[in-house]
Parts: sequence; C-alpha cells; structure tokens
Amino acid sequence: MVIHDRSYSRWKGDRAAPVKGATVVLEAGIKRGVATLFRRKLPAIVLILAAFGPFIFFLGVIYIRAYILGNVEKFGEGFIEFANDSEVVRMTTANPEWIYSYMILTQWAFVMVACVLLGAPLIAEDRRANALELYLSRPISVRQYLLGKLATIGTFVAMLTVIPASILILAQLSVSWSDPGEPLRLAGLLARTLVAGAVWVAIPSLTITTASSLADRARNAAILWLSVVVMLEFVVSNILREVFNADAFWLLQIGFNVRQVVNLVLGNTADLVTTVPVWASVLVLAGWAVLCLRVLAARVRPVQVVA
Amino acid sequence: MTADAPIFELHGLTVRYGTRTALDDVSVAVPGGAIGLLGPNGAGKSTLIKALLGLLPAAAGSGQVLGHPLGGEAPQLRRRVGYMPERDAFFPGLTGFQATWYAGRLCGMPDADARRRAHEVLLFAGLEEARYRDVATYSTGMKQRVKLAQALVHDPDLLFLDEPTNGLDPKGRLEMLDLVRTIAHDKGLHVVLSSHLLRDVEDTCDRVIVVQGGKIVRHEEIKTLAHSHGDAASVRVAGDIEAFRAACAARGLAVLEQKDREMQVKLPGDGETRPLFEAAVAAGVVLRSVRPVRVTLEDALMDVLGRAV
Repeated sequence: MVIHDRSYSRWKGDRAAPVKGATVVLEAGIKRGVATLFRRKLPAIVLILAAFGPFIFFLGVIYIRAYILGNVEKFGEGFIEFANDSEVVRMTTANPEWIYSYMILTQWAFVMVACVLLGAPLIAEDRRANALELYLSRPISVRQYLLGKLATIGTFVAMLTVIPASILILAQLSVSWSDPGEPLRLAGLLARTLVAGAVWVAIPSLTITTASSLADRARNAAILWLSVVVMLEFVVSNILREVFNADAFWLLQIGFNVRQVVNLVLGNTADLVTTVPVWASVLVLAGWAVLCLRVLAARVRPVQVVA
Repeated sequence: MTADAPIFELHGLTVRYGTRTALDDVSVAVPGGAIGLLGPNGAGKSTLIKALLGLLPAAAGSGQVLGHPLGGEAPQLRRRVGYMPERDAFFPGLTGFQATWYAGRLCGMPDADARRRAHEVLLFAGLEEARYRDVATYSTGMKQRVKLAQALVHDPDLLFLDEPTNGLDPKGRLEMLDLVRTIAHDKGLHVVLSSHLLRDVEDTCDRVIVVQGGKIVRHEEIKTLAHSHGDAASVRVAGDIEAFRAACAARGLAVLEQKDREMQVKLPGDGETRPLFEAAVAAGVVLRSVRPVRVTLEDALMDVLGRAV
C-alpha cells in the first residue's frame, strides 16, 4: 500500500537562483501549443505535412542530386540528365529569390494558420482565466511574461519559415563544400536569411500577440487579427490606391512592408514596388512594432482598474 | 530581518484607483503570526494585499514587506510570498498538477523540485486523483484548494489569502480553515487572511487588522480586542425603565440593546456588576434577573466599525 505524507513540509532548495521567467513561459507555451494542435490528430498531421511538404521535397532533391552527381558511374544517362536539368538545378540552388519565394510566398498561409490557432489564445485565454494576476504576483516581470509569449508564437512561425529555409541553405552548403566560392556565398545568404526571417517572424508574432491582449477569448482575438489583416491588406489599401491612384497607399499593408524589407535584406528586387521607398516601409514597420508594444504594455497588468 | 521584526510595515500608504482613494494614509507595523484582515466588502482589504505584493502602485507613502521595500516588481520579495487571489483564477488548459508545477517553476524552482512539491502540496490541500484533471472542470471548492496549493508550492515565508472560503459549502469552509490553521500555527508560515467573515478570522488568526473605508481602524490581538470591550450583562427590569437607563448612563454603563423590559448593558472593563445594582437603587427599580453575556469578536467589531463610520 502506498502511504502518502500529507503533511506540509518546508522546501530546502535554493531561493536565490535567478528566475528565468520568459523561458518558463516559453516552455509552457510551446507545450500548450502542441497540445492545442494535436487536439484533433488527423487535421494536425495533414496540416504539418502540407506545411513541411515543400521543405522535405527541396531537401530530398538537394541530397538526391548531390548523390547522383557524386556517383555518376552508378547511374545511367537519364539520371545524370535529370541531375543537370536546369529546373532541378534552379530548385536546388539557394539564392535570394528562392529564399524569398519559400519563406514568404509558400509559407504565408501556414503562418496565418499558426497565428490564428496558436497565437490568438496566448494572452486572451490568460485574461479570460484571470491568470495575469497569478503570473504577475510571482517573481516574473511584465517584460518577461510578454517576452515568453512573443517567443512562443515566434518559435512556431520560425519553425514554418526561417528555420526550414536555413536548414535548406545548410543542406546546400553540406553538398557544395568543395565548390569554389560557394561556401562563402551560402554563408552570406544564411546570415541575410536569418535577419530577413527575424523581420518576417517578428511582425506577425507581435501583431497576433497584441490582438490577443485586446480580447478575452481566443476566438475574438483571431477575429480581430483577421479583420485588421483583411481590412488593411485587401480593402483599405486597395481602395485608396484605386481612388487616389497613388502607390504610397501600399504602405498601409503590413504584409507589403514586410515583403519590401525582407527583399531589401536578402538583396532581392523581386516583388518590389519601386515607387515606394524601402525606408518608408522600414519606418512603417518600426512604428507598427512600437504601437504593438505600447498596447501590450497597457493591456498586460496584474490588476485591471475599471474607472 | 530579525525574528521579532514586523512582517510588514506601512507609512502613510495611499492607493488610488483613478480618482477614487482605496487606501488612505495607512500606517501600521504588523508582527508575524496569523493576521486577519477584517472589514466589510469594499473596505480596502484586497487593495491592501495587492499593494503589499506590489501589484498596485502607491500614490503616496512607503513601506516594507519581509524587509523588502514596497513597490515595483520586487522579484526577491515575491519568491518569499504566496498569494491566493480572491477571484477565480487559473492557468488555462492545465491540470491541477500542471498548474501547481507551473506556479513553482514561475517562482524559480528547478523542474524536479517543482514536480515533487506540486504533488505534496496538492495532497496536503486535499486534491488527490482530481489533480490530474483540467482545472476548468473543478468545482468551486476544488478551485480554491488548487489556488492554495499554487500559493504554497514554493514554500513562502508569508502567505496572503484573499477570501479563501469564498463560495465554499460549510464542510469545505471548515476544511479550508483547518488547512490555514495548520499552515499558520504548526508550520511556522506567516499568514495574512483577508475575510469579511468574522468566524474565519476568529477561528484561524491571532491578530486582527480592521479595515474600514480605506483606513485601518483597529489593529491588535483578537483576545485583546474582545476583552477591551469588556463584558456585558443581560438585565430584566421591573419598574421605570427610562429612569434605569438614565441611571446607567450617569454611571457610564452603555445600554447595548433593549427589547421590552430586557436590556443588555455593557459593564466596566473588570466586569464588575456593582454599578448596575447602584443604578437600580438610584432609579428605584427591581432587577428581576442579571445574566452575564460574553462580548464576542463580532460585538467588538461592530462597535469598532460603528465608531469608525
């Protein structure tokens, strides 16, 4: 028979060890996110396969091509032709356009899904359950709490965008180590991808976390976020551009500004509206980030004072 | 902090919600032990606890809690205090065990220690197999227990309990008070228990702080508070009852209440009944019966609050 000691005992651990509040919040946030995702197993698996399908395909093509070219004696003429086919070479040569196309154009829909599914509940559900009082009466600061929440959604978005892109560059690097000049080019591309990826991860993460702080339910946060995105991206900006025939209204689209800045960092000219200066997009994104942070600071408080 | 140093000390603390003053120039030095915060709803008890935790900024004044200055996020202080909020609060999507473990991790406990302590305090709080269920499915009583476990998991030196018996049935209330009594008297933790229920405080605490209208109107040991209001006598009078009231008043004997010919008269501090008989002789009435009535904390509190209004 198991006998439990039901009395209260004192804890003799180290009370002076630093509290890594943001890490604890991040760890719990990721566990909760995974649990939310796998609440329905089949849709979760389909979603994950769809999100990582292109990554697995590109990774496979990179290694298969390298293997064929490294073992030409084992393969017939057809395989060698396949490996040297311009389309296959294009698919397996990491360059700024390729990274842009993968991170932004291929993955944006999955970033949206991640934001709605995993980002919307982050603060909204804590507000609904009055958990902010529990968090902030413990030795973690508002800054640590927010950092943990932002890092949670940032991790999921990064897993969909910048992490697979970086792995693909590293895979490319691993098979083209002996090509002259290639390692240096790929290292530069990796650095630029990480910076561009940071912008692409930060803006949606900040926006959905802010929307989450403005709502008391995950569903309402998701609706709010989608409304802002749809209104700014597709309605207001397009209508104003048509009415006033001015490209400056592109700046109202957060997504457009992200694309401009990502292209700038990657050294790309694709998809740029040349009449809208990139510095203006940088300023808009900086302003948006400041606005989000101010809203978060105002909304995340241990005690809500209702006048 | 020395052993007999106050667990918290306030100097002219004022807290405002917008333009409304919730705590008004509060000064107090509170020694350790089990402290009851008593007062009607809206008196400022919860505000006082939140100000002590640094959750609400002070508009004026200063203070210290366990030797740490008041205000700000004070991580070192919060590692040493536990807080059980009044309202329903839980970490969403977690089981009782996970929520308690998480509370420990947020207080800087290593993972293994937080797990072990979470099981210990949940068993102590009386949550057995239910600790593996989602907190959102708990009854009110179970939620109160898990809140207590979360406040205790990191083994605080000072525990703030804000209305811990709220929403509990009589059995649950007695069990919760029993837990609080054990923590406060057998385990050496300092406990500040806020309640508008007198019996909760009377049953568990050594000292009482009476809060009314954002001010501390009384702070002393419970037995002293009750005793300082002396004893009373229930008297049945035959004769001119108004003349007897006047004679009592002339001798400083307050009539607490009167029903027909029976009245409760407050006796002097030493409980001496002689002035009562002197008043009867002076008024020319006959005392049919004189029965001692013990002044409870409730009487004392009503007296204190009545005077404060």
